Amino acid sequence: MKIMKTARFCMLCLMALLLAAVASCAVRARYRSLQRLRAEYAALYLGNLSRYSFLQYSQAGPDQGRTALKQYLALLQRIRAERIPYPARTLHADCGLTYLRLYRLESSVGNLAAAKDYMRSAQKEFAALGWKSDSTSETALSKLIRIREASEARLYNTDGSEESTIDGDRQEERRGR
Amino acid sequence: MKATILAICALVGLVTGYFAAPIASYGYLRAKEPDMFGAFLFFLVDNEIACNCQNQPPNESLKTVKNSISILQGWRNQNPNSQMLAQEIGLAQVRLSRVEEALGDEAQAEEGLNAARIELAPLGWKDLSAAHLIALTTQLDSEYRPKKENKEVASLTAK
Repeated sequence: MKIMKTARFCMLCLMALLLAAVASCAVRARYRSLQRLRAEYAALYLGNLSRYSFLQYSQAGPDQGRTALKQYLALLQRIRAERIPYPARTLHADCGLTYLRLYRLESSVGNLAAAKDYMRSAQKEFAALGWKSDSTSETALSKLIRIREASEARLYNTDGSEESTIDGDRQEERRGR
Repeated sequence: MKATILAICALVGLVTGYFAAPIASYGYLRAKEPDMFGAFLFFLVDNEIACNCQNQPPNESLKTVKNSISILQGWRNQNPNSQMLAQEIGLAQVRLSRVEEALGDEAQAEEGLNAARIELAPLGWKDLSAAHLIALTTQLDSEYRPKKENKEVASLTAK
């Protein structure tokens, strides 16, 4: 009888230990560890995808560039939707820049409706950063991305050619006429 | 007496659980979000190439890059459709070719470039000339800097 009582007490102690361990592990993981790890991994993943998508955009054709940029954008949107801790301003800036690249890409292949949608999305992102309306106008943003891509072409394209940039410019000229 | 023992057990459980949480989170993420976890490993390999090769003599760099390529190829065997891995392997092959050229092994350097072309051509890359690939990886390596927690939004207009 005494052995039974002792065994029952030991089981009770073990249960208490396990329950307390699971509870404290769950609470810490849910509110701290998991969030921190996800934030850390998300930042690394964004870094990888950012470089991959940029290189696909600048080195490959429009289809490959579009696919890679959309993949990057999907991760940015996932981070926003799942509320993974990440600096909100950086998220707006990265989304805005990606929308602008997609705008340039769609302009260059003549998908003007899609280009317009991307420009609108970019304007929203930059407005959320507190940029004034004259800085988020279509003219200002298309000039901004044109200048940026021209300098990127000098760095990442050996001959300094700006194929997509030039194509985009042509489209924009056509639209202006 | 019994209540004290029970309380001590609960306390030990609380402490154990508290310290086990980071390991449990790591395991959870590894199982549930392999893409996010993969990014962490990818970052480590990427850093090894960029960080170590800049400050190493060519012989050491050769080992580092070859090791990184074999790790990347191992992952690619698990994710055969990953274009990000294909791009990274292609760029690493170009780096390997640069190191071999620095060691005076022209034939191996050319072979490395051809291996890079095999990786990058299916990704739609337009310019696969040796000059361009070497200039591109040199530019990318020059941009390497330790990870910053917060990127400056201002960098958007900086270049």
